[in-house]
Amino acid sequence: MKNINNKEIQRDPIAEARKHPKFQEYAQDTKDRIELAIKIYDTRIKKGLSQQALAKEAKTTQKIISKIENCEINVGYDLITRVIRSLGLKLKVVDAKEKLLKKAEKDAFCLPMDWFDINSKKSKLIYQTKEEKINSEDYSSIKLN
Amino acid sequence: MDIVYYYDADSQIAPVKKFLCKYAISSNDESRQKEHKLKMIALIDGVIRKASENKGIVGGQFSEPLRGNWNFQAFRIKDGRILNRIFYFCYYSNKLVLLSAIDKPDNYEKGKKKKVDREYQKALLKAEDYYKKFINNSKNYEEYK
Repeated sequence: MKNINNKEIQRDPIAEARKHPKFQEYAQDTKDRIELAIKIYDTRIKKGLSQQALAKEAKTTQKIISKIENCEINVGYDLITRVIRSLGLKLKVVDAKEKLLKKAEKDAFCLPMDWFDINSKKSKLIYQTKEEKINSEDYSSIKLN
Repeated sequence: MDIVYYYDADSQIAPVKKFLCKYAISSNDESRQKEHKLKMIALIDGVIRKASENKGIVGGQFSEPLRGNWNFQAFRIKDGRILNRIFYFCYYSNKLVLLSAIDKPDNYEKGKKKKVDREYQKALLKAEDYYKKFINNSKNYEEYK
């Protein structure tokens, strides 16, 4: 096996794209679009609807539904509302910060006290969000209530 | 979960990085082409990041288990009539390894079905080979920036 330290320098298209001034804007748009596409697909599958059936209900075509679910098109408000209503969902505009907080709450996981082998009576659970990753060397720094 | 490109020490390339070079922006590109490439990179990046935040699962149409007994899964990202598939797996729940990728035409041209299927099968075998190589030497990777 060749020495992996002598890695040939290759172009990194993602790192290059990140430097583009418009990339952040596109990345944020795409992130929201991915969330929407997943929600539509999952709800459709849960309801046992085919793309064709959903298209009929939303007065559009199967191709459009497929494109929405694959993040291929930029859909207008009217169309997306029709699709969402047909699935029994509704659009809600939320504060981005509020959304982040809720996500952090959802992502929070709890560790049983004995995981740390500490016999403090006060602390039963330690909550830690994903953002504050626990590294093994950080265990000593975790404060218990 | 950290995202990494599998680096093949024998051929001295990171296959996924090489694959993504088709979306690398060049100075000869027209503005529409540039925009399309940026949006595609943003979509691919969004899907990969979503998986890394969600224990390797994206949901929706973006990831699917492969038919057959393979040790990896695939991201499924459409670009018009072309279906990009990026093979990946989660290594000890702390690394998402991007093994290799293939673009598979969505609509088969007449008489080309067998050829496309053969190519796809070859790509799967290659990804399996990369998987085994990575398991043998888990330092064979490049950072995803």
